[in-house]
Amino acid sequence: MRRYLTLRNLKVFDLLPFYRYQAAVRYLIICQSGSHTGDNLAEAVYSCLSELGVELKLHTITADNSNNNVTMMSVLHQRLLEKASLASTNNLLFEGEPSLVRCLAHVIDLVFKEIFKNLKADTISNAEAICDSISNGIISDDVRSGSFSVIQKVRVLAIWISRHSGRKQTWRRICQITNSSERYIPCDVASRWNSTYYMLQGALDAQTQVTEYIRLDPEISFLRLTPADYTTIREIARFLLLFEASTRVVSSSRPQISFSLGVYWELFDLLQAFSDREENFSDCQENIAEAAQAGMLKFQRYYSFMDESDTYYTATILDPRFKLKWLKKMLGKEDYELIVGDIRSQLHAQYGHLSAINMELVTESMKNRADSKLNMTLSTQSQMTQAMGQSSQTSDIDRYFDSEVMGDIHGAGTDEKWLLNWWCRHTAEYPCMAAAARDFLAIPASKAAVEKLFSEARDVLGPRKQVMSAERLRVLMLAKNM
Amino acid sequence: MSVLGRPESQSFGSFNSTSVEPGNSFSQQVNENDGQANIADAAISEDLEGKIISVGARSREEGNMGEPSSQDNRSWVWTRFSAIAMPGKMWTPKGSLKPRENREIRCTWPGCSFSTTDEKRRGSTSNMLRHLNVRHRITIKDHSYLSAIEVLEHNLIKWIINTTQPFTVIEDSAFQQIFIDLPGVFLPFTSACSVSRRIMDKFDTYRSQLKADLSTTCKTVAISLYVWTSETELPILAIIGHWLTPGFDYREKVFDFKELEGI
Repeated sequence: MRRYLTLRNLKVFDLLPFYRYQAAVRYLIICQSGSHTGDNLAEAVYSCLSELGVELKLHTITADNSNNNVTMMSVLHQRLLEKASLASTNNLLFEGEPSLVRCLAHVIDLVFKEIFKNLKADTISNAEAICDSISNGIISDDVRSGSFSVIQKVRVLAIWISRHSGRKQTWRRICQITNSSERYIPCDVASRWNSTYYMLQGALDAQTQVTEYIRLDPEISFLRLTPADYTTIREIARFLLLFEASTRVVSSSRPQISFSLGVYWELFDLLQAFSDREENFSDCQENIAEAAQAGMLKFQRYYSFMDESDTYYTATILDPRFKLKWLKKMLGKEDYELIVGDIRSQLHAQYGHLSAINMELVTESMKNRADSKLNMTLSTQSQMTQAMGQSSQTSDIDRYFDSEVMGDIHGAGTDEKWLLNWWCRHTAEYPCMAAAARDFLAIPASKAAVEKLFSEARDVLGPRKQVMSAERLRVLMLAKNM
Repeated sequence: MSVLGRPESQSFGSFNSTSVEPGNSFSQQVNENDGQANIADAAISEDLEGKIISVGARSREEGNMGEPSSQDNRSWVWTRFSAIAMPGKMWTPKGSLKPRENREIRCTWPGCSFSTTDEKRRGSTSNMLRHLNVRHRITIKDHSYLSAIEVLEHNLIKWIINTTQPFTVIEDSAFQQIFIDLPGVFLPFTSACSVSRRIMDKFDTYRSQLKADLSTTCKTVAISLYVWTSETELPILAIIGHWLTPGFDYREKVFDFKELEGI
C-alpha cells in the first residue's frame, strides 16, 4: 500500500439524482472455474489487441479483483514493453498492475456478501436443502425450532411457494381474497446483492398474504414471522435501501469514472455512520451495526487497492466542477499534497509536450491573422506577443489546477455528455488537460457492459443451440454488436 | 454507433452503422421516382440516373407521401428523410412565382425527432445534411447506394443475427412462401449454408472497418474484460474497447468474444 487515507465523515454528494438509472442490470450466475490463468488471459488479450492494431494504445483494463487478473496485468505489461521497445516508442501508457481499474460493481457486491455473512443470511443452496427436507417430511430439530435468520426464513418461504404450482395457486387466491398484489416474493440470486433487498422488500409488502399463507400451510408453520422479525426485516431493508442507489449507478451501462471516487466515499461514509450508529441511525439494531463494521473492513481493503493507482483521482480532477475540491475535502493534508503533486507531475510528464506543439500552432495562426490585417498597429502586435509569452510560461496543466472550480452549472447534473462536451469546447484552452481527459474519461468504472454481453450470449446459445462452436458464437456475437 | 444494452442497439445494431438503413431508403426512393407513379406494377424499376433500384411493391406507401416534387429531391439525403404533405399550406420558392405545396420533412432515424419544412429550408438540403452529420455521423463519403437485392440480403442477415434465429429459418417453407407471394421479390438465398457464408463475409468487412475506425479515431483505448463459462462449458473471454474520439465522442465496441485457449 502506497499510502493510507484518512476518511472523514462527510457527505460527498447526494446519490438520489442517480435514480434515473432505472433499468436494473441483469447479472449472470457466473462460474469462475479458476483455470483461467493469468498467462493465458494475457496472451489472449494481447493477440486480440494486436490484431486490431491497438496494443500500444492500451491505457487501462477494467476487470474484477481476481488474482488471475493481477497476474495478467503484469504478464501483459511485459509483453507490451517488449513490443514498445521493438517499435521504439516510449510513450506506453499502460503500467501493469496500477492500470487495473477494479470493477466498482464487483467491489460493492463483495462488500455486501461480507455484510450478509454477518447478518447470517446463509445461502440459497441451504434454503433449497431446507425446502427439500420439508417436502421429504424429514425436518431436523434445528429447522423446526426456527433457529435461522429472518433473511433465510423469507428465502425459504419464497422458494417453498415458487416450487409448487398448487402453492402458487393458494398464494394467488389469498392475494385475491385479501385484495392485495399478486406478486410473489422474489427469491434472491447469489451474484447480485440487491436481489436480497428486493426479496426482503417483497416480504414487507406482502405481510398480510404471508401471515395468511403460513396459517394455511401447516408444513411450514415454523416459518411464521413474528412482529419482532418484521421489525428486523424493516431495519435491514432500510439499511440496504441506502446502498441500492449507488449500486444501480455503478451497474448502469456506462458508469462515469469521474463519479467513482464519490461513490466510494459515499459508501464508506454510510457504512461508518451505521457501524458507529450516528444521529439518524442511532436506533439501528446491534447486528446491523456489526455487519456494517465488517463490511467496512472489507471495503477498506479494496479501497487500498484502488488507492494504489491514480486513475480514479485523475478522473475526478478532470471534472471541472470538482477539480481538487473533493480531494481537498476528503483527504488528509499530507495525503492530499502527496497525491496531487504526483498527479500533476505525471500529467506534465505524459502530456506536457502537447502544450509546446499547440502553442506553436496558435502563434502561427495568430501571425497569419495579423498579416492579413494590414491596418493592425505595431503596439497591438507587441501586446499580443507579450500575452502569449506569459501564457506559454505556465502550462495549461498548472493553469487548470490553479484556477477556480466551476460553480454549479444549471442543467448539467449527472449527464455524462455534459462533461465530454465541456472538454470538447475547451480543447484549445487546455490542450494538455484535454488530451488527458480524452484518455481518462473513456475508462469504464465497472464491467457492466461485458456482463450485458454475456447475457446476450446466453440468448444466442439458447436452449436448442448448445452444440454451437466457439468460433460461430464469436462471429455471431461480434456481428450482433457491430 | 451501437452501444451495448441501449435501446437503439436493439433496433439499430447494423452491420455497418454508416451504411444505408434500407427500411428508410425504400419509402424515400418512391418519392424520388419522379413521374413514375405507376411503379407498383413494375417489378423493379430504376430511377432516372439508374443508380437506385426500387422495389415496386413498396409504392403503396405513396399515399401519404407528398407529390413527387421537382429536382430538389435528387440529393442522397432523401434516403434518410421522409416528406409528408401538408395540404393547404403553400409556399413560394425564391425566384419563382408559382406557389407550391409545403411538406414536412422528418428524419427517419429511429427515435430522432428532427423535422423541418420545405418553407423553412427554402429548398436547401444543407441543414438536413448537417443534421445527419452531427447527430447520426452520416456523411456522403460513407453513404452508398445499395441495390434492392443487396438491401434485402442485408436486412435478412441483420434480422437473423439480431433475433438469434437458427440459420435454417431461411429454409422454412412458410418463410419462403412470404417471398413467393410477394410480387417481384425473390429470396436472395435459400439455404442455411449460404446464410452462414454471407455472415462470414460481412464479418470480415466489419472487422476491417473496426480496425480502420480505431486507427483514425482512437489515440488510447481503455478495455473492460471478463471470463465467463457458458452453459455449454466454453470458457469465453469478452473484451470491450472504450475510447473517445478527438471530438470527445464516446465509442464502445466489442473487441473480442472468444474461447480462452490453453486451459
